[in-house]
Amino acid sequence: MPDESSQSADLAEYDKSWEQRNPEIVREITIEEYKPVGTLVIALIYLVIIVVMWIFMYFIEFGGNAPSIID
Amino acid sequence: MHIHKFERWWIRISYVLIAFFIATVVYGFVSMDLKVIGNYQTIDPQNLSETPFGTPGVREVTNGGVTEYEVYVQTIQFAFLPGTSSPITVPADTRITFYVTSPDVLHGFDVAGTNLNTMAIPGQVAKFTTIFPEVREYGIVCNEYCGPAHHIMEGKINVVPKSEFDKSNLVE
Repeated sequence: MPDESSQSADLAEYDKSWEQRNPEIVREITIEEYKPVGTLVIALIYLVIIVVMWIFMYFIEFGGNAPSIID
Repeated sequence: MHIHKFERWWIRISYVLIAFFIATVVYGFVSMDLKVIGNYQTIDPQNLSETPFGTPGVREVTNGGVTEYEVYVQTIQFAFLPGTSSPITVPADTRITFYVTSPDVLHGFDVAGTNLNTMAIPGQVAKFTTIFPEVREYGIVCNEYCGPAHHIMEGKINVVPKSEFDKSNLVE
């Protein structure tokens, strides 16, 4: 069972902001200054793979695979 | 709600992607002339003998002065009629129209490795037209569970050169 003092210490910690709890942070940036370029590149590569695979599957494997139903 | 600039980009790209997929499917059906099997007609599965399905096989028809072939196939437990005991023999580079129905239970008619695939439903006639571009043998498999010997239900389509097509095996 947790004692009184540690509980109040937890509460005091909880009242502080994230910055107050992490004083070693030297520079704060806004959300727009944050540029996850790597994530963007991975997302773009992923989307390009999907497009290329779709083109291959639909136009070559499905559409180009005669005999097909023509009527 | 604030959405990050990058996140807005890939949300937009996702919408473009969906539009692209829909556009390719529309293009396929409009310009590439891809077709799917629709509802053609219903039939009494108890009285197939009074219909062309009573004498299943390959028939010659003339459509606008061009010779085409019609293939009537009955799918029964556990064979294609014709197809299993004797292959369906058709010429290459010719319009072939298949009519498939079942007198007993649900079957599948799948020309393996191609886009030709239909269900054979008792009471419904499945109709589709195709052109076989190359001379070769195709396997037909039943891909709807139809009973204990479903797994051995198979047949063959034999595509022969147009010049070597033997018309003596046609049905009237």
